Amino acid sequence: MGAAGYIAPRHLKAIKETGNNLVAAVDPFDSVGIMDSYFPECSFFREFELFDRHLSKLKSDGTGADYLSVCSPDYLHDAHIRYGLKIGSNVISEKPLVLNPWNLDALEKAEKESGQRVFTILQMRYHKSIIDLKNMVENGPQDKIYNMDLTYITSRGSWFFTSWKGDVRKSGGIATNIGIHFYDMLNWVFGDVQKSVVNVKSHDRVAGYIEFKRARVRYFLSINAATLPEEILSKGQRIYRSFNLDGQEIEFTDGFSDLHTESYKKILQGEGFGITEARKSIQIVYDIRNSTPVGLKGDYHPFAAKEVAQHPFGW
Amino acid sequence: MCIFARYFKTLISVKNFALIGAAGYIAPRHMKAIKDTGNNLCAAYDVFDSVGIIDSYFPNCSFFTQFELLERHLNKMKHSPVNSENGCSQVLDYAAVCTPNYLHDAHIRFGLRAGADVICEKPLVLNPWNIDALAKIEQETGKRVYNILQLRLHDAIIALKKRVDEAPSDKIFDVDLTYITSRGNWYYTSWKGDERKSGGVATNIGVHFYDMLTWVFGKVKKNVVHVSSHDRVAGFLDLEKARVRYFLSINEDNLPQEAKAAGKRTYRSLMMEGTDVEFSDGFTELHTNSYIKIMNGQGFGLEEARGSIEIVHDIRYATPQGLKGDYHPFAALECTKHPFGW
Repeated sequence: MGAAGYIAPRHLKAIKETGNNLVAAVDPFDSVGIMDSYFPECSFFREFELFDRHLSKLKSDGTGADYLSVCSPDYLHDAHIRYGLKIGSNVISEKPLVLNPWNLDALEKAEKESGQRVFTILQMRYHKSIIDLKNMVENGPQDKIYNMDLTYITSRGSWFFTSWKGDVRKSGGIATNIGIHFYDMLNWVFGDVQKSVVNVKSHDRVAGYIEFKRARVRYFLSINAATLPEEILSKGQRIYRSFNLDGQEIEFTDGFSDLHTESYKKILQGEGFGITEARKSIQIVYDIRNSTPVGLKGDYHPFAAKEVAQHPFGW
Repeated sequence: MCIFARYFKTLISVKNFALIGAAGYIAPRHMKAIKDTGNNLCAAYDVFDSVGIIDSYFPNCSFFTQFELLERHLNKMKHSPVNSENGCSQVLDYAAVCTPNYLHDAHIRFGLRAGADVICEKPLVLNPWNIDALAKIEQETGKRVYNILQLRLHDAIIALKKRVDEAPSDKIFDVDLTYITSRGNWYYTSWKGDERKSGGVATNIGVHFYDMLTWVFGKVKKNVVHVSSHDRVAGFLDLEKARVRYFLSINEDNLPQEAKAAGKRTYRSLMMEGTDVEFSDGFTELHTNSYIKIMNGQGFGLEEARGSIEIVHDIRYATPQGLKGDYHPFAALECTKHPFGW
C-alpha cells in the first residue's frame, strides 16, 4: 500500500530480492511505472475499495496475500496495518509504525484477534557500524556512560510543507518523520530512556537531550538548509550526518542501500521486529512531540542555539 | 561546441519557470533542463505530493497541490518585489507542462493566459482542432507554445534526414518501424490506459515516432490502420518519400524471441531498405537540448506539432481493416484480451 511514494521502490526491490511475488498494489496516484522493473503482472488500484475487493477475492480462492507491505503517509499506517491483519495477512510497515503509543496497544489486540503479526522496518539495527557500536558498548565497562552528539540535517525545500510530511498531524513532525530510526537506534544501543528534555522544537528542527542508561545524548535534527555547518554549505552539500561519541566521529554514511532487503529476509525467517521492538522509539517521539521546549537551558546541542526560522508559509 | 556561450547567454537573463505536473515520471527531465539552461523554477504544481526530487534541483521553489493556489501564487508574483528566497521576479517567463495528455490543452491555455510562453510535453494536444484554438490564444496573448519533439534533435535521426534529403528526389524508401515497450497491468489502471485521457497507444507511446517519420520523409498521402487495440497498433503510412509499415505495442508477448531471451522488455527497430538505423542511445540530453533550442528562438511551435497530431488523431478514429494490403509482419501476432476484460 503506497506504491507511488518515495520509499515504495525499496519494498518492491526487497520483495523481488527475497524471491517473493507482489500480487496487488494500491496508491491514489498512478505514476507507478516503476512496477515494470519488478512486478509488471501485479494488479494496481487507485481506489482502496477495489484493492480490498481484489484481495478478498484472492482470499476466498485460497490465494490471499501472505504479507501486506505498508509505505503510505505516516498517519495512515495504523489504518493500513489493521486492514492487513483483518484480511489475514502479516503486515510489514514502514517506520514510524504508528504515531502514538496507545495505537500499539490496539494493534496488539488486533494481532491477537487475527493471529497475524505486525513487523516494522528498523533498518539501522542491521547497519554494520551500528552493530559494531552496540557490541562495543555491551563489551565495554558496564558502568561507563558515553557522551554523544547526534546531528542530522537533511535539507528539504518548500514542497515539504505543502506535502503531508510538513503537517505534524500527518507526519508527527521532525523528530517522528526524519528521526524515529535514530531514536530507535540510540535506544537499542544504549538502553532505556531515563530522562528526555526538549530544548528547541519547531516546524523545521528539533533539539534536545536524552539520558539513556549508557549514554547522555544531545541531538539536533533539522530540515532547514540554513542550519547546515559552514563547511557543508560551502561544498554545496545539502545533507549532514554526524555521530560523535566522546569526541570521536562514527562513520555510518554508507551501507544503507540493501537494508530493506535485509529487513525482509529477517522477517521471513521469523526474526523481524514487531510491536514490542517498535514501542520504545514511538514513545520517545511521542513524548518529544508533546513536550514543551525548555529553551537553551542545561546541556543542549550546540546547534540548538542557531537562529530560529519562520515557517515559509507564515504558519 | 559553443555550449558555454549558450549558458552565458541564458545566465545573464535568468528565466522564471512554473512546472505543472511535478510528481510525474517525466518531470525530473524538465527540472534538469531548466537547471541545465541556467534558469529558475519558481512554482510547481501536482495533485500528488511525493516531489522530493525538487530538492535536487530547486529546493526554494513553491509547491502546490491545489491548482487555485498555484494560480494565486503566479498572480501575486506579478505584483511582488523579487523574492529573496528563490530569486523569482515579477515575470513568469515560461510554464512547463508535463501533466497527463488530456490536460495539456487546459494547462497550455492557463500558461498563455498567465502571460508565459509554454513548453509542453508531447502530444501537445489530442486533436488537430485543439491546435487551431491554441493558435488563437497565442495571438490574443502574444505568447508562444513550444512542443518537445526530441527525436528531431537526435543525432541518428538528423543523419537519417540528411541521407533522405540527399537521395534522388523520386526515391521512395521502404521503412519498417517496430517499437515494443512492455507495460504491466498498472498501465490500464493509470490514465495512460484510458484512451480518452492518453489518446491510446499510437498517441501515447508513438506520437514522437510519427513526428520523426514525417519530419524525415515528408507529408502523409495515405494512412491505413491494420490492427488497433488497447495494447497495440499496426498500420501503414504512405509518405512523400517512404512507405512505412509500423507496429507499436505495450504487450511483452509481442517482443521478438531474441529480445525475450535476453530478458529485455523494450524493443526498438527502424529498418530502412533492409538495414537497421541504430538510435537506441543518445536520449538522455534531449530535453535539455530542446530547452536550449527554445531559449534560442528555435523551438518547435504549434504548426510543427500539427502533422503528428493529425496522424495520431486519424489512427485513433480509423476502423482497422485487418490483415489486408502491405502490413507490418507483427500485425499478424495473436491478439490479447484486455487484462480487465474491457
